[in-house]
Amino acid sequence: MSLFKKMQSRQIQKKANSFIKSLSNKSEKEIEQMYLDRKEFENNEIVLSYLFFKHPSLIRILPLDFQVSRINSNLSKFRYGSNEAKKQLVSSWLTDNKFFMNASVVQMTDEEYSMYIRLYFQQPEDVAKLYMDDLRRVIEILSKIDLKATEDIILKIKDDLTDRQWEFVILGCPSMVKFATQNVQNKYSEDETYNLYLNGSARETYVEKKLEKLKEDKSLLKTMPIDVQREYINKNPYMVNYIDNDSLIELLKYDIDLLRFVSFPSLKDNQDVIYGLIENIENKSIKDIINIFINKGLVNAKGKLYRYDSNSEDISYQYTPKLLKIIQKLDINQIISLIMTDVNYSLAYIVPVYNDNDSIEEKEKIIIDCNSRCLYLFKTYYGEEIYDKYYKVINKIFNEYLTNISKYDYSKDYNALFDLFKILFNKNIITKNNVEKVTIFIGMSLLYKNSTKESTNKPTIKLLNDIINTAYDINITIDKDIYDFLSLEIFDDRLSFINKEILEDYFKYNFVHISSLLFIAKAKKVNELFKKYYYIMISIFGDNKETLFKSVENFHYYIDILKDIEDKQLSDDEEKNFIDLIASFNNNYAITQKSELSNYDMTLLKKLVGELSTVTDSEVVNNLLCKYLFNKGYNQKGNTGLLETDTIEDICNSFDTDTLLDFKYNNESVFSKEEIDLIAMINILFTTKDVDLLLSYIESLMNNKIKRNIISIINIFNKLKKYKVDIINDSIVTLNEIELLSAQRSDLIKKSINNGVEIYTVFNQDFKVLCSLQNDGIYYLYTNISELEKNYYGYSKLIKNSSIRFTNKDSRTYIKVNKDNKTKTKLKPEFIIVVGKLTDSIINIAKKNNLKVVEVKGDNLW
Amino acid sequence: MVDKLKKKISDMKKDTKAMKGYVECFCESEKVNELFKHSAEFRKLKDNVKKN
Repeated sequence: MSLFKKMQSRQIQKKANSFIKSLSNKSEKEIEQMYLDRKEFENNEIVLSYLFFKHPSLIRILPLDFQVSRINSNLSKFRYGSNEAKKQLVSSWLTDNKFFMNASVVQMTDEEYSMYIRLYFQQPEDVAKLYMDDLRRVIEILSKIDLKATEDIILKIKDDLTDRQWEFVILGCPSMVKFATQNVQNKYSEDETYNLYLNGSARETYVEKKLEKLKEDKSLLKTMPIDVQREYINKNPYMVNYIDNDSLIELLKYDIDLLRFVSFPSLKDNQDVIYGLIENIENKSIKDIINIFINKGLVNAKGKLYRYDSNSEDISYQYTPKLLKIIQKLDINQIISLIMTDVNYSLAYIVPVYNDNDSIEEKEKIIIDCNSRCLYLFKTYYGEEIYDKYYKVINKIFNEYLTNISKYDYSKDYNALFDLFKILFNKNIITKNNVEKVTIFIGMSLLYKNSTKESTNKPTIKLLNDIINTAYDINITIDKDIYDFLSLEIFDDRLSFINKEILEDYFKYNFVHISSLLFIAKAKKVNELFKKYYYIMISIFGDNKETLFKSVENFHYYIDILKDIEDKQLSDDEEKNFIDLIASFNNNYAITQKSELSNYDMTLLKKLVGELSTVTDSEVVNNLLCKYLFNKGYNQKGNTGLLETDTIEDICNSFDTDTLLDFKYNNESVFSKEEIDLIAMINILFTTKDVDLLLSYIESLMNNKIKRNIISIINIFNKLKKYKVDIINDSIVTLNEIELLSAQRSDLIKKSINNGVEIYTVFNQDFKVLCSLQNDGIYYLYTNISELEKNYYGYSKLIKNSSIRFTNKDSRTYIKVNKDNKTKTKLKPEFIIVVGKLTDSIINIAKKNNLKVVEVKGDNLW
Repeated sequence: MVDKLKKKISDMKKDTKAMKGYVECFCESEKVNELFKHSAEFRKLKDNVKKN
């Protein structure tokens, strides 16, 4: 060592000793913060060794490599390590086949034991190193957690297993016998417990018998081996929506592609199904995680962390603590692959999740763990150079949270500090802006966080505009602070092919599919294919937010066929069938080749006939029929996907043909006579539950060679959706109309005045009204007055706004205005509809609120 | 490809053959006629189909 280096080393040693000295009499919390803020000691052996032995509870924040190597030689400190370090350590034990020995030395709990055994999912080759009972236990535990992933392990290592090892594999999970060598299979071929899993005629007969039994009793499905279940669902996709959640989770874990048949809105507790599917997510490959989270759209990142929106006093659709904890179990490479797709995943990964009743010390520990995890993530994401510039900024944000534990709560704060990580994990921002600018912005945001003064807010917003403009090479001025942005990636030029207003609207209601859209946008070739697909979808469904949702959700089911036909010429029939295929959701029959297009219409018809032959239930027949004829389920169970909620039943409940026939827009009829007839037919056809009639109708369609054309049918639904608010406004009876009628027909409506309040008493008349029980600005109801059982506030017009949602139940249309927009769309009541006794108190309420009263009387209405 | 398909979609939207076929088969079905013979809505639909 040169003299210079010796001197340098002595100096570092001196500094380290002095730092260690400065730690005396400090609390562990203070020591943690002091250590995290002094990067020069991050790899200093003296400081690290001191903390390792003197403050074992801080081991978890020390550098990962140091933790792993030191704990490995001091196993008694195992429980102090960070989760990441413990996982790395155990992973090396699996490689060296020391897991069972060391697990007993460190006295793992049953929970830890089961958790670490899952690491074998990522290290299949190490399973082949196991013998006897260890092997049996591992296979038994793994197959119960995830049978498909265990099968994948066995498939990878099957050639390395000895006959003796196979015995223990099969003991752990009998179905694995199907992957064994012929020699091993021969040993089991006489035993009934095993031969049902063997290939060949015995297996075929077994499966056939089981499928035959299912025709008679569908409840037997869940008692059958999972691969038989999969085969059955592939032949009868509609059944997937009639099985219980637990069976569905097992089935989807075994084959996630069956998700294409599932109607999420119809599931009871669909969140539980998602949790079930991602229970073992940390042990999946990055490809699988991207597939489940993003392609399948099951766990897209959210735009905000808060769950409770104090403005509307309502629970929002954001993360649950359970979901955050699942995301936080991902390892560094897994989460980075997600952040590269959508920066917002970083928020979920670094936010401290604790219970309100946790002690302050416990909360502090969790926050510091998150601080440490965030630093590690940042360093791995950007590298040492950028890390050096920003680690103190990250510490500053966490310190602010740490010193205000009682004040801040990410689950309730709209202005959550963690929104600042939308800046720090945005590569465009960090790599294109200079560090001073970003640091000043973060500093100003922290300093003026609760300020309402224009003098502080204006410069902060100006700086944010500057940062965004530099990052995305644009020139815009937006009067919003960082907390109002659900995502900053909306400015990415790769999204510019989407109509600006629709894109903003899409990002504004950030509940689903934002990450999926970003994933598509960021991959060049995929982006090109998506553009083509999206423009076709717009032609079919119209240029609106729902079409974008549908396109993003369904695109990955069509990517293969889009690739295949990209440079090919299609015949007229192929074109028609391709359009039909794109218009129906989820590519149910997995068409991927041009060669499958020419007969696609016949394939569909054959599948319909095949499915109908197994059905006796009228609801299922209705669903199959509606899906085939109208591209829409009769009810929710007939739909597929995460978002499709419109049903034929809703249409029957919402619109009568007279209303549609009378409806004009700009003085022109919107619906043609053929369209009205079709809606009339739908209304009549589905009043019956006669399966024979439905089947004979289908037969008649086939005999008459009536070819479906869902595009013309979709066009009717598009119009119903587009003009829904206008149709409602056109069909409801307004106060003006009541006044007018009372002047002309006093036998139908009698006007009187009581205590200064105008009262219109309506006799034996039924009509549509727009009303609300509580005038809360959120919930409205569109129905016939004869359906009302209570008194309601009455309105004369529904305001057209994209944030309105409609649901139907029992012949009523329920209207929900998005809570974030309720102030913009809140309607002013004009009258009170009284269906019971008109009391003085109602008259007083009307007087106080300057309302009129419409009293409804009639013997033959109720 | 997209422009060609857009044109085809526009044609398919205007094509009412399937729509008419669905309704005509329904109105002509013996079973349907038997079941809905007392339904005013069904009679009205049949009249409309005849007129159209």
